[in-house]
Amino acid sequence: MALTKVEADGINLADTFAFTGTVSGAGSIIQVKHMNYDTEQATDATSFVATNITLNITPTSSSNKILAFFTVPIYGAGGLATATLYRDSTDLGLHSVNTNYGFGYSHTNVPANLGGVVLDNPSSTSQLTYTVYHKKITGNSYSCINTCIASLTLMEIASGAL
Amino acid sequence: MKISEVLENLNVSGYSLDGDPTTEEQFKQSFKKVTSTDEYGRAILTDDESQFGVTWSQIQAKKTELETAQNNMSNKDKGKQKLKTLGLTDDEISALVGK
Repeated sequence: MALTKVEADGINLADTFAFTGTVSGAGSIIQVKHMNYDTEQATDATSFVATNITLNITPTSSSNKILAFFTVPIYGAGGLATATLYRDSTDLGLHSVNTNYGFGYSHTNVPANLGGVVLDNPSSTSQLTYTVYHKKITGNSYSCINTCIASLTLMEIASGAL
Repeated sequence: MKISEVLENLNVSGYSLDGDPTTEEQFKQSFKKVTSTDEYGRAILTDDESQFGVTWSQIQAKKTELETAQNNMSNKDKGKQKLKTLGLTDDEISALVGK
């Protein structure tokens, strides 16, 4: 017996449905990139130095957003250390008031786990590079101090979900 | 003792070091010198050895010197050094353990 495909004019969302196939087009998370990294990096630079905590992502639509999460174990030897997240050349921790402390800072000789969550709107379908940077405020900065693990996660979020 | 600590004692400034190199070859691969800063606040780094301002043999010599000095320290001096690492001033340390 031939099957007939019925095209409905509408659907009652109060009804109960038992889907046995695949529902497509409903996802809000388009793609996810993730990495861990644990090689210590030392710097005494007062400008931000790129770590190897870095990921590329290419948005499928310019209206989609990138939800970025990062954590980095950091240590300020003899002073303060800070970290931030860049999208290509854009410092995502920078605003008119905070021009020096990124996403926080560690106190002198006290390890800290700095992190941030950014809902970025790159308006692009080109490949983007997100990288964690660190620097000293005073003293020296160590990222992934004593090989503790840093992480970076990127999610492309469909514009309709926001 | 980490190489980064030796670099501090050699007063090497404006650098980035990945990991803790144990050979000259590893050092040359992991050490970078800051040459300037770009308009976005990022350090511009070079791996040109002629701009490092320090050699592996200098680092090794200083490392040996520091480790020897550390091994020869009295327990009192080791304690003072640890207190200083914790952030206490010389006056505060003297108040606790004497000169």
